[in-house]
Amino acid sequence: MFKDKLKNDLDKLSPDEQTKSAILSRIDNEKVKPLYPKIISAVAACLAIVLAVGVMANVDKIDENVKKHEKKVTSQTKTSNQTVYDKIYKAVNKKNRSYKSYFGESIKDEHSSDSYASDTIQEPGASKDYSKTNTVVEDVDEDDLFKTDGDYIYQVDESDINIYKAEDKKTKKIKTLDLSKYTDYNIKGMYLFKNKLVVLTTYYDVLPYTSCKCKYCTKINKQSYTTVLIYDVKNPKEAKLKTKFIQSGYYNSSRMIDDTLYLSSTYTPDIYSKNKIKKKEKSRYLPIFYDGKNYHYQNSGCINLSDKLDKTSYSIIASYSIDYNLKIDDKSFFGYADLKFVSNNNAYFTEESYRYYNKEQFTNKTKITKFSIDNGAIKFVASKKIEGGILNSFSMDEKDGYLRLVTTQQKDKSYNHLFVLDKNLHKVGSVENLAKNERIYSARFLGDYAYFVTYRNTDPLFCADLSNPQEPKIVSELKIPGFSNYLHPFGKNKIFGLGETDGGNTKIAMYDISNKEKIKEIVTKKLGANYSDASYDHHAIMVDEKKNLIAFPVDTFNYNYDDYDDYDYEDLSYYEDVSYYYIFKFSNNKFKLKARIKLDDIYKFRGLYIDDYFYISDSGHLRIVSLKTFKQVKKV
Amino acid sequence: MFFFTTGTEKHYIMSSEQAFNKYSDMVWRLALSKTASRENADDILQDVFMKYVHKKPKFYDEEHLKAWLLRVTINCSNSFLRSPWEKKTQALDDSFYIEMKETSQVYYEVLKLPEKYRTAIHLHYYEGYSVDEIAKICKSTPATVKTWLFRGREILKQTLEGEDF
Repeated sequence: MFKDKLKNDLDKLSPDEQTKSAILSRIDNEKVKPLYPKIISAVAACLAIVLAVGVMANVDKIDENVKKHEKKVTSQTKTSNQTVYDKIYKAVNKKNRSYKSYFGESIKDEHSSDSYASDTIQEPGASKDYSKTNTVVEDVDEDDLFKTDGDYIYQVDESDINIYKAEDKKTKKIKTLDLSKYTDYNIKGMYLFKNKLVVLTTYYDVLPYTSCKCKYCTKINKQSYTTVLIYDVKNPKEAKLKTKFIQSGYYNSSRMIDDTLYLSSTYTPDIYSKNKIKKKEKSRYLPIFYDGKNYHYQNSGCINLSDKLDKTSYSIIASYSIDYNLKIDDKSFFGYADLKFVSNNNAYFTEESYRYYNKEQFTNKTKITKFSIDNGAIKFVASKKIEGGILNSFSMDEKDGYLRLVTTQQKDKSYNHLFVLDKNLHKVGSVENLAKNERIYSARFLGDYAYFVTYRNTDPLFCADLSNPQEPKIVSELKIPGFSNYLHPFGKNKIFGLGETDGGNTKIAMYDISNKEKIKEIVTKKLGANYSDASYDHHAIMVDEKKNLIAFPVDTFNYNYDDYDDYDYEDLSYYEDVSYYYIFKFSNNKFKLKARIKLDDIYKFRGLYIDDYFYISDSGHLRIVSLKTFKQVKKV
Repeated sequence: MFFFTTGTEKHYIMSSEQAFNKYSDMVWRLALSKTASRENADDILQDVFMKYVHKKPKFYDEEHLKAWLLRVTINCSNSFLRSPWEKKTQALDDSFYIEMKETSQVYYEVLKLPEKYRTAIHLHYYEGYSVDEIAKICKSTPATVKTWLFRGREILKQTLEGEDF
């Protein structure tokens, strides 16, 4: 019986005795003292430090290796595939250590490999007014869980994709694509291009190219890989899988410029396996690609060896043409870097590292690796280290070939810096050591100006003038309580900010930036909520100045430990944990709450509009709100 | 139902230490099923009992206490799952899953299910709660819980071929 087996399995699992006694002693201590309101954030902070210590252990060795490998760059072109692969094998093999591996059944390869030339198609939804994914750079699309082309709405629901025909009140679900055989957990994201739906997934299994199905081969050939699935959705009712691309490693990030998809993944060779890697087993230490027809190892020329070889992971970036169903190019280098920022011409990877002076004092640096991208062709440009860590994609920007970025550096205190780097990543200008003891909470670059918020005691909103890259300067500083997590331009002269008050409540604010030397706060509004997804995920928020819409989800849950005396213990609703979707309009210098829709799920909400209706994605359902009456008219 | 029918007055009190010794495994296992990570389950276990210490709740009876603990565990796990930290680290952490794949008979397949189905399956098959009771604990409707259980079971039937439910 399933029940008995589950009982058997779970009974074997229990918390460590050490953990138990630690908690028991804490219970003893805490009986008198009041508790800090946010244990969870404290725990997260502890974990971060533990992690940092782990990373630190490697740093010293790495620097030595950088020098050694610099010599290798020049000879790289002459060496054959084999010698490069040998080098990698050596480096990887050193890291080979024993660890429990896991294995299961293999899957059948069910791709259809017929590629077809693109025919001229009329773009769908051309006449309609609809919203697009909120992106960092205007023309560079980002993958998301909720997309529309004006006629149809595509929604990710765990491992399914629901397709709806958008017809205002008559909207209905017309098709569900079940992708569970291609994905481990949730679908990572999707794109729409003309009549094609591009889906990104990650799966851990045997790559289907191996002919030998013996137990050993199936075991050693298991790995994480990221898949690009291209569906023809000319007629969404009969959506069909047209092409499949595969690259090694789990999903990191992706961008799309016109029809070219840039997909980044992180691949770790099979070093944790009990079976030691043999030299001939290339599939265990080299990245593999599937271009729709054939599998191939990454060409040696595409692996950048100029940096350290003693990292155990590859960061991979590959480009695909969606229009022509083609794989174009691939490049990789060693490290655990994130694809942080992509402009129209360049892609930037960042990787943060920590160096400890003693037990408590440490400093952080970020390695930036730059690739130029041109219609799918990817070329390595430069790699440099700068002081401090980067918060998110909004902390970086590119203008006229200059990379501008803001970082927070940990030393004895925390310091904030603003850097301008030229096209080879050499520093040309900087403003350093801003706002001691504070850190950056949000940033936004708009043309020649940069706006960023730091927080600890006060909340300055800085405005920096970058019109002269050699001499950036801070032109103004606005101090207000609380902070903003997200900044978005609203028209030419205003900036919208979403953040928290000092007490931890969600707030929204509007700033006047028409006079750069004197930024003003126009209005701020406190919301009865504790958290908004939008503060960490810019895809969750929609700010549209033309339509005059500001829409985002918030959560209300109680972390307040102070007033527990009045709390009625039998009232379990004290713990109620409800999410709402707010739609605001901004007029006459005031925020007006137009709609407050109660939601079912706890996270991953998205919203979009088509003409006069607003669609909210909520745990596999669709809520439709009229933008005239601001009432929910239907739930599908 | 079971929250309110058994007693007329709340007079049932259990000391934090006693409650911890008796129910720490139960709380930890539910947190484990929800978050699929030992480390997260440890953190949640601590959070839940910190709440217990500070709120000093009184109950109708022991069943009520158990339900309270499960409910708080679910809330803490939900808060945890949605924290930005967890969102960023989730993708990397498959070590627990790998371990389970080798050592468990059926649990590794349960871990593969979507989070909601996992909770429902855990409470129904392991803790032995009925659909109505699960609905109360999860603050949902019996119909929804039924759907979770049904869908979870359907997936398990495919992945665990020939298993008797």
